[in-house]
Amino acid sequence: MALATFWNRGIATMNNDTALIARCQKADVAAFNEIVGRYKGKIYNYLYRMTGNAEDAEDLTQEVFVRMYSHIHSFRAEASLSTWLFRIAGNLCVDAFRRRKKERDIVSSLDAPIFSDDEDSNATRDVPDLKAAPEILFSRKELGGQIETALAKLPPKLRSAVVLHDVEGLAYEEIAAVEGIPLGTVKSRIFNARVALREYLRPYLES
Amino acid sequence: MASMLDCNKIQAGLSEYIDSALPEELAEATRAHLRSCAVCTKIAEELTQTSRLLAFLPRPEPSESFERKLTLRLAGQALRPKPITLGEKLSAWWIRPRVRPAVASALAVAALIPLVVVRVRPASPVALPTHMQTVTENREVEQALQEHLTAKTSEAFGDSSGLLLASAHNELEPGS
Repeated sequence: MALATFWNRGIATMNNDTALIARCQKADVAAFNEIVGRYKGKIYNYLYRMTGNAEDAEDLTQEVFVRMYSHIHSFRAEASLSTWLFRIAGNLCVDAFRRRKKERDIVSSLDAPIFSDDEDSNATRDVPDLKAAPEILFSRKELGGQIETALAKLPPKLRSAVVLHDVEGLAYEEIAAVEGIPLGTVKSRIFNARVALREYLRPYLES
Repeated sequence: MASMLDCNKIQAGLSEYIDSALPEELAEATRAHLRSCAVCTKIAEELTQTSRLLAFLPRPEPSESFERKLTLRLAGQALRPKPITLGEKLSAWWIRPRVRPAVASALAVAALIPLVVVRVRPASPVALPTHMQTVTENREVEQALQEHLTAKTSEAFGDSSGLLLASAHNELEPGS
């Protein structure tokens, strides 16, 4: 029953999106604004989780909709609007990480890498010792902070997959379309991300 | 106690299992394994909790000035309409109210033209020779042939003018 409701809601959203895209493709700016209103939260949240920074996330979210505005006339309904927007966001993230890496390489080669495009790299970032202050874990806000920190430790490819799935609720197939990778790779990235997060968050899980 | 090999296989599919994304046969095998394996059960529980934990994350919203900033960035840039293809042009033309009756009429007229042409066209005037004409023509041919034969025979007997033969011929045909 719940699945049917979820499915029907998904179909209804797609139908609404299709109508909005058709209006956008007739230069209807109101339809464009409606799409922005509908998706800005999702895209911003995804980008915030990816960059870990509100300012960068907002700039990149703006860029996503600027690109959508410029290219909506050539959008073909081969993918859903949601998939298309997340794909633009993901590509912008990759560009942003590359830029950061270059800047970091120039500024200092001594700092340990925080962001990396390499799935197998050992990206590191200082994580507070969760065992040191267990009472904090009972605060939902603080718990969110610990999860954010743990997420930031993941390589971007794993982080993107697990955020799209567990935070934004995209299906495996949609993530494969967003990332342009095979379904099996999506599954293994989500699995590896969860295993890594489980290690980082073990103190909370055990409590 | 489940074997290590089983555990490795099961653990590799646990993430899909907690997402209910495993095929039913594998999901049933996983359920059966978890009933007898405490280690895998613990891992499955921890992965499930980890996945659920992400729901604890706050969902930050973009700033209130987001739309205003976006409008400023897009100022002076028009929303480009989708280019109209030939098919779409034809389709738009086709749905105009008077087009379909007009096209149907034109096609009907075009289909009728060959029928009308065939019916109206007069029968070709093939002039058959009458019986009398045939007889007359045959006589003329026969006469010419006879004259020719007479001339040839006269040449053979040295009667270049053919007078002798002609007279002989006349004698043989008393009625003539």
